[in-house]
Amino acid sequence: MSIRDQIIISIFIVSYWFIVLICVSAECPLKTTLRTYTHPAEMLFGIEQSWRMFCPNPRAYSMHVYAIVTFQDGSTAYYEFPRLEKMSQFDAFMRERIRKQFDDISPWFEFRMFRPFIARYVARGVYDPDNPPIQVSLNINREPIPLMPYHSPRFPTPRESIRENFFIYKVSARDFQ
Amino acid sequence: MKLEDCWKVWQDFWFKPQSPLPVAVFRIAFGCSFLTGVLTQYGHDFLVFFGQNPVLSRANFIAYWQFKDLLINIFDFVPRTNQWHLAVFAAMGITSVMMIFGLFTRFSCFMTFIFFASVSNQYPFLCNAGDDMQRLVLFLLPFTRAGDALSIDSILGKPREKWYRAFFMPPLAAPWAQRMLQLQISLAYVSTGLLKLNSDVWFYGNGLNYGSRLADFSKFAIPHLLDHRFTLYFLNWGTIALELVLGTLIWISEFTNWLILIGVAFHLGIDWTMNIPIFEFCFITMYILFIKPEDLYKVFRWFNSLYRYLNLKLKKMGGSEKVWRSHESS
Repeated sequence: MSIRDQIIISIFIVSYWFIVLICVSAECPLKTTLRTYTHPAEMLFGIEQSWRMFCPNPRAYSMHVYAIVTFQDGSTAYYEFPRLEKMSQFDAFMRERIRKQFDDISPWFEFRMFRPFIARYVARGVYDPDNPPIQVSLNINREPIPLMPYHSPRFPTPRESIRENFFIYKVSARDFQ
Repeated sequence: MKLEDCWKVWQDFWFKPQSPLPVAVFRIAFGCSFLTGVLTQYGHDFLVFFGQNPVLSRANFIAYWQFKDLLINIFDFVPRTNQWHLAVFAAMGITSVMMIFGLFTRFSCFMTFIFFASVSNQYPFLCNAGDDMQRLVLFLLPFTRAGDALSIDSILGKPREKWYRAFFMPPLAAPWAQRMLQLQISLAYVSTGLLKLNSDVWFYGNGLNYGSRLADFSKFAIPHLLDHRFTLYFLNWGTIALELVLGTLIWISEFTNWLILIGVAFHLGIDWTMNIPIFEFCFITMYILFIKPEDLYKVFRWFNSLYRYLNLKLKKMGGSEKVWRSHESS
């Protein structure tokens, strides 16, 4: 390989790692400043990355998300998003992405702006022209995992004992157009 | 040390020619893992995420998440119908198969990257760290010499050579892109290891306790191992130590093969206990990049011996064995 090629490739290597290391480094004023310039390149080339596998703090409770739909006549319906722990291992493998969408995304404050769309999706799924849904509430059931040195057996997994509502959506006629 | 010496070290690390066989084997293993993901991870709920009326549309993501970022997204250029969106996935499947067989390798790797980046940008909330790693691999793979061996390209490119020579004995080439991939996995391990070290939860031994008891991730049991305080503490701190070691000491050749074995066992253990599809296999395949070419030839010879032992009438391979030996000694 010629020296000219080596220099061109070296520039590419240095640029790549400069962008990547800024992306994965800890938050600080320098990162904030530099990332203003490197972020567009990260996004364009798809090299944005974050290696936070169950860290810094893994979730300290088991949970599942569900919706309560209220209809015009006052009746209610329970809508449970697919739960992997109720599926066979094969189905759980095939449908892990749906857990990521509904359990990993929808309850967190960071993603709150997407909640109306999820609620609307549920409302459309149970739409009945004679008795349309008027409200969708998104809820979470959770059970804290005991802190070490106390620990619980892995199986059977405990039933979630804490219920929390995290979003209420008033359905309008426009949602079904 | 002089500046010239620094440049020499730099050249040795990135450009000193070596056999591209490891990256070719990696291409096949990674391609199989990636194709498994394409075939299994999106099909069941395809319409929920990629249909013409998904839960969250592209417009939602642009308005609230991606803003004005310039992104690779083929979905922007095809009609917004279920059939066309399915066609993008079908095309990604075809280019991944081409990548596995090494047919127009650079082109197929590049197109697979374009398709997968499009999928990631069309619905970013489906991606886990394994998907991020797959996308990075696909970005870097076209720069490697992955198609120089174990590929249709390698045979078609040298029609006058014996097929097994072209197929198994690629010319030496600068491994800079392979080094990029190796550094990428090192970075992933060191980064997550340091973050865990900096976390109170992991530092005081609760990280593995929490992670292993999330009902929505639970898979198979390992009898007793994760039900005792001692083993939970041991595996918790062992995870942090192993991640830091895998990201650093794997570069030291005396430790490489042992750490690969430990790393494979580590990832298979996680895959056995937790449902995180494809992620573990993506990381396992990346260890291939650290295997020395001569060790891979040993593995090939072992398979060749096994093949002959089973008397499958492939006597011509005896010739290739001699050539492997001569290649190793050179």
